[in-house]
Amino acid sequence: MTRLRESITLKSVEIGASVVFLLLGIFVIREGIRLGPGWGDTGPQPGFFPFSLAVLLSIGAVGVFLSALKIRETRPFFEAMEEVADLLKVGIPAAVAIIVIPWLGLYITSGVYVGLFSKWYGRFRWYESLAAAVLVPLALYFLLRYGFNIPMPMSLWYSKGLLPV
Amino acid sequence: MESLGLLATGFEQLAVPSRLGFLFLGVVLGLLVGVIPGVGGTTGVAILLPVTVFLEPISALVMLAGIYWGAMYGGLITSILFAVPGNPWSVAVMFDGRPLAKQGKAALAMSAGFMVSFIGALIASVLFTFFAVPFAEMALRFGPPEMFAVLLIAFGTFVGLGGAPAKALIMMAAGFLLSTVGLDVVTGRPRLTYGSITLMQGFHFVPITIGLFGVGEVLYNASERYKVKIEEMTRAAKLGLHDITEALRLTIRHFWLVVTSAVLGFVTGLLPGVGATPASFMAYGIAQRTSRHPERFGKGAVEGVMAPEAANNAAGTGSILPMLVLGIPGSPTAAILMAGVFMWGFVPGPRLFVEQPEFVWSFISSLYVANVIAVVLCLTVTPLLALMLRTPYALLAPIVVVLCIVGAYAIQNSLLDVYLVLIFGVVGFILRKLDFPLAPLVVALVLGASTEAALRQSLIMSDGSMLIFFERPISGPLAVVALLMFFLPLIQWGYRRAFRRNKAEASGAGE
Repeated sequence: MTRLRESITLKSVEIGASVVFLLLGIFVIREGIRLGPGWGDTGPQPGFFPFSLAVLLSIGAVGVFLSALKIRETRPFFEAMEEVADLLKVGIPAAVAIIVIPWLGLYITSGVYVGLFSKWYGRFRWYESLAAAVLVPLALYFLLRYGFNIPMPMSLWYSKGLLPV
Repeated sequence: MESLGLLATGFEQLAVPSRLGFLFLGVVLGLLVGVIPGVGGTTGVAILLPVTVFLEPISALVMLAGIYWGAMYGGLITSILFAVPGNPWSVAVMFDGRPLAKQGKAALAMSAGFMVSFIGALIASVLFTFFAVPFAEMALRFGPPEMFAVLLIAFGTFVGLGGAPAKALIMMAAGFLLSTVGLDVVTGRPRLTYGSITLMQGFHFVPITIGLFGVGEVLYNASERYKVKIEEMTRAAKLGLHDITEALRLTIRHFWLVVTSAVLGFVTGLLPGVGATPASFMAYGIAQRTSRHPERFGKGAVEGVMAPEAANNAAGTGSILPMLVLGIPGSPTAAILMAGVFMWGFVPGPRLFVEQPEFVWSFISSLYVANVIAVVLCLTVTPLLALMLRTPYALLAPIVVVLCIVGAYAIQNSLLDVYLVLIFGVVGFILRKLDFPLAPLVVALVLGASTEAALRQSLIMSDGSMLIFFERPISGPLAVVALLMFFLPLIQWGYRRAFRRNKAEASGAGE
């Protein structure tokens, strides 16, 4: 595992990033050409800015690519295994929470997310996590829906009229 | 000096306990609304406008003013504590505010921010009181060329700041490109949408900034947890009055910076359509340029919090001016306030000053009083707020993520924005690790659309000639200033090289 982590060096990620930017630049240059990259009679055509900006982007990307090639040190991108572990432990639940929003709605997701995460990552006692899982959505509900009436994503059960959230 | 007399009558009108009560209530509500990311001055005022229908005009107006001010102060809190910039004008404050919070100095950052907001708004209110008419007339002459020149200055203050030029170039270009996605301003054709209907709405910068800084921050903190635990740093920080006195000391030391930022903010806010956001970026850029320790910016320089905060509160005051005096709202929030004014049967404009002086001057005096209430309230609550940072990480991290979701969705009820938060959170984390400066990305993204629109409208006005910027009396000097700011780093660099060469020659010849 450590060998895999150490093989992903800062240098390789930087090179990868510059390649991604270069590809994006080329992508946009094509779109810019399609829209008209020149200067019409009433000023720049719609494609002018995307085109010239993408050119600048590509130039910058090539610059970063070349200077990245010159990096000598082989410092890994993830400095320690704990870093990767923590990133995944925090990042994946966060990603899942965001992804399920259209189905579970904000209030249910926030309750479940806060409750489960604090229990699992923070090793809270079950009643502490439960309290958080109830209080956070309640506070949000009171402030957003009841108080200021700001619409938030609601769960599927809400659209069927089964639940108030 | 007749203004002073009228101002006094305004204060008299306010001195009724019920009106002061409504003002206080307005400030509290505004603070609450301002703290919620993604909801800020505009949405907050819009939501609470119906609440004020039941009140008599002056109470209603001062309550609305209170809400407006509270919201302006509230945005500071989420930017510093959670790195979630819920308002566009809070982004610049976050650059140094968040590092300060991580060093355990959240209370200091917030106290300094509140004090400086107060001073900024106060200076702007004074300018408002005495110079309402001349400023309003200047606002009338403002058109797309002037707007473009001002925005160019805002960019100019960021040139030459921050790291490797190639990386900064990529970031600025990327930011601009992101702002071009969607329907073209002039021709209405879809750009960079690749056939997707979802992309036609374009990328609103708030979800992107919430992702880059809010979620990005959560990920970054996670990656450092084996080294540094934030709760431990903040636990070490003491709570108490000494943060407020320290903030006062710092404010006095940097007084001129605060005053210039405030004046800059007021003038920028007053220009229709420009508002607090460019003002805050400009103030930040200028503060960094004129500081004796520019390298400290971005790592926790208090001036980096003070300058944008003073500017954005002053700008908030300034944007009300054209609305009241000319009937032209300078910002979306001013437009909603104007709707309120109409609701009570008044017509904003020059006649309002003449026909309904008590109304106008109570409003102007409420500017002062609301600010006093807001700053006192905020300063007393600051220690409690700083306490929030001591929440255990396992609880705080998911709450911040939830706040980010709320902020993203609140803008335009779009799920795309929520996904953008996730995507840019990951992107922001990677970019940070690779030392790509995020500030140019954000500035280009935020100001990109208006800059391009202003440029193209100006060129339509001039039939394609770029000289229009220099021909008009107001935009001319502004454009020259903007160009100077762009070329200044180049000139300085050239000077330094020549100087070094001279020194080398002199020491070589002296041997």
